[in-house]
Amino acid sequence: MHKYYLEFSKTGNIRFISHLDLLRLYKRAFKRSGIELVYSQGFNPHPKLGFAQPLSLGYEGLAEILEFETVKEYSANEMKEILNPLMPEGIRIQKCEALPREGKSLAALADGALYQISIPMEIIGKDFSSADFLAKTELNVEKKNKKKELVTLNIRPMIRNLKEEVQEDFFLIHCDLDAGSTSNLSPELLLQAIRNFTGRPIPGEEVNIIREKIYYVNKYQI
Amino acid sequence: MNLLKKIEPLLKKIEKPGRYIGGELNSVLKDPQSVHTRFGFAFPDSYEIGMSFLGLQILYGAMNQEDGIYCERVFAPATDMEAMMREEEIPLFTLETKTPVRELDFIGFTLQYEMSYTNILNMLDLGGIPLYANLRTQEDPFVVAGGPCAFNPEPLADFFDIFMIGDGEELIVELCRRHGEWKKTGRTKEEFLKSIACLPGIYIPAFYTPVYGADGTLQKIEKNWEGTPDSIQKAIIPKLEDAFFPEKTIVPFIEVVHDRSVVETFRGCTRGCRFCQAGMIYRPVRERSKEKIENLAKELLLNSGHEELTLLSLSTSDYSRFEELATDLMGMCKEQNVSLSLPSLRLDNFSFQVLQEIQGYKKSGLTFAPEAGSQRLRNVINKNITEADIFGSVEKALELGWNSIKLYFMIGLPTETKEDLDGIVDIAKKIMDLNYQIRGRKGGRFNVTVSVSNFVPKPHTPFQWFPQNSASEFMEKHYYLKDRLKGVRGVTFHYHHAETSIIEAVLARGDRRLSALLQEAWSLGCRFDGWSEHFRYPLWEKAFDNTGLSMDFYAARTRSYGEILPWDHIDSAVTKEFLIRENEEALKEALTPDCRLGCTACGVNQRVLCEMEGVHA
Repeated sequence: MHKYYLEFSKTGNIRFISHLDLLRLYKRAFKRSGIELVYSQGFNPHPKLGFAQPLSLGYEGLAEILEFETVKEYSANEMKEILNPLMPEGIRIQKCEALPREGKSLAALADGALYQISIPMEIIGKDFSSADFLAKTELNVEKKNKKKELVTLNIRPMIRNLKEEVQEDFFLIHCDLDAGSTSNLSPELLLQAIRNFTGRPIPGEEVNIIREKIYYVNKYQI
Repeated sequence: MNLLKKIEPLLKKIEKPGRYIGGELNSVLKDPQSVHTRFGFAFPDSYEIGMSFLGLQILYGAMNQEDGIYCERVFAPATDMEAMMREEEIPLFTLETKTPVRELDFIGFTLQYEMSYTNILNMLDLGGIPLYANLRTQEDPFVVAGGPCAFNPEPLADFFDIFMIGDGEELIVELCRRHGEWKKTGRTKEEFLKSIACLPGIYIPAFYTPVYGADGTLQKIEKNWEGTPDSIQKAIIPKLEDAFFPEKTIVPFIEVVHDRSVVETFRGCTRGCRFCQAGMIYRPVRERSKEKIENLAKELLLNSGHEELTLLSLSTSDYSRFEELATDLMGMCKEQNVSLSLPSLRLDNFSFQVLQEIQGYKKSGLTFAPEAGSQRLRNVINKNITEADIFGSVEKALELGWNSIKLYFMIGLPTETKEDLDGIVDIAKKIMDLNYQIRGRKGGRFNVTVSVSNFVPKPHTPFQWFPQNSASEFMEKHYYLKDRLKGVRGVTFHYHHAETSIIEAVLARGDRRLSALLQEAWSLGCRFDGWSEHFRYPLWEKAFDNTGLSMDFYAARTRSYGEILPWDHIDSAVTKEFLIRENEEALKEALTPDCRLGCTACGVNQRVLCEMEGVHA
């Protein structure tokens, strides 16, 4: 068994397919490539591959991570060369590297992510200040729990860092958010807090969200 | 014009935006300027249903392998997308290049089921194309159609310029080639229609006018132009082996109904079930060679990366080298971690071996389609399956560990009585008893699902003269069965909406006056009528009222052999004499054998070689 990961971007209209669609896309690409994946044992064997973090439908990703196990050993670069031509428009594999064989999966290690949220100036208005926003000790939003009941949640502890930048007609928010199995903050909820804070409606379809990077526990680097 | 910039903002607001983005693996991009003919292949239902349809992949491939033709896809937008397109004034567009459909040369609808007809009108309207053919101008595209429902095109006749009857993969390419030639001449659209009117399989409805008598029945079908044929012969591909079949199929990004590689093993069926339209109109049986099927399977899997392979035909195990084929494919699939699924198997010893092998521990349910509850009624419909067959197979299945059996029946079949309905209940009970006998009272989880559908008499079948049950008769029968099956532990009962079946029957055997009905139903808001959550019967009732048409006239009336039927000028190559003879045999409860045992003189061998005629005689 040989473990690898791919780093790829998902941009353009392909962002409108879900992460499960993307997983199936990779399974099929591996089948076409002839790179044999390791299958799980049991009644319903499935190939061992998965994302470090699922990316929501509609978001673009600049450095998404897919980890997988192959039956034979490959040179990582060779795999990138084989797989890239099999990718549709919008998916670009930037690198492929071997992963140390032992230890937890990247999905288990992922704990944070860097997002860029872009909102047209006229939508967010002029008075949003990240310093004031972060100065709040509580940023409460409403969220449905697993029982589908609305609960109030303070998201402030899950925001690690947040900066603003104005780029022509767009207001960009760069933010590090918890993104892992123990604590996870969806940018949707952050947006809801921004709506509460600014008192502006900010329709979802006016907002563009890009995930730029995924972080791992204890500053683990891949 | 490319509408992408206008479509993009909508994609964030709607469900399943992946339906509208295009760009899937093996979809085709061409420079539209480089071709003489642009064809929009329109499936009048959702993307997920349309993309599971093999005919789309065949015709898309057949057209796009020609340099001069560009075929793109068009689907019915879901209701959320439709609302937004109307609000933003975005016309219906092709998936590949986001071109408004009215800029194409052809928009071609596939007619797979009657309940999609209102979607056709809705799509034309969304495309900004006048619904009625006679209101369209020289600048509008030709609106064309094909598929099984084109064998009675009359209810849609006012909306279409051209129907293609029969096998489409060669005819559609020929149509486009001739269109390219016509385009160079600069002649009128009518002249184009005249130039193709005599091609086998082409029907130009504008060249015919139906004349009705005082009782509402057809008196004659008048020709408006000398040059048009008296009857329209269906197009037949004599040898399937040489016909185009795609080695690369479009692989959707999003999950669709069937996401798998499909090889058509043969077309047609020799069994002659009397209710079955497909069994009549796809005659004769034509097979692909085993080698070709295996090669296609290999290529399709390689080019798609699919994890499932299946075979398509009307009765899978009738393929003449089925055992060898199934054995080979099982080996190939196992090697490649691909699952093989074989629908509509006849359950003999070999099939059980195959099913054991391909399903292993995750056994899906076993399905039987006795169609009728008694041997008498099965003889009427010529469904050659006995209770001994069913119970023998069930016993075997129980021994091998299957836990679920599905049974399909039809109700409202000709000559049906209460005894036939009781027969349905008896079969279900006996299967439960068999389970107790073989596995004991506490033999574990086991269930039987009984599904009944409502019989819809179809054109070009021996039952085309037969009246359909009324909605209330169907409902009474549903309650009768529900009541009796309620007491049988382990049995689940499903039945179809009666009112949907009535509308389906009206449209199936309708005449040209129904164009007005369809237009009315659509303008009242009918869409996606095949979806129970969208079907609105009161609107259909209102459409009948507003147009002065009678549901019963079309669905519940007995036609005489002498009556001119709206589809009589469409020649399926099966003769009317054969259909009459089969109907008479049905009333005598007499079986007609499979034509592999000897020709039954349906007439198709007068047009084309019948490969299977008497091969087991």
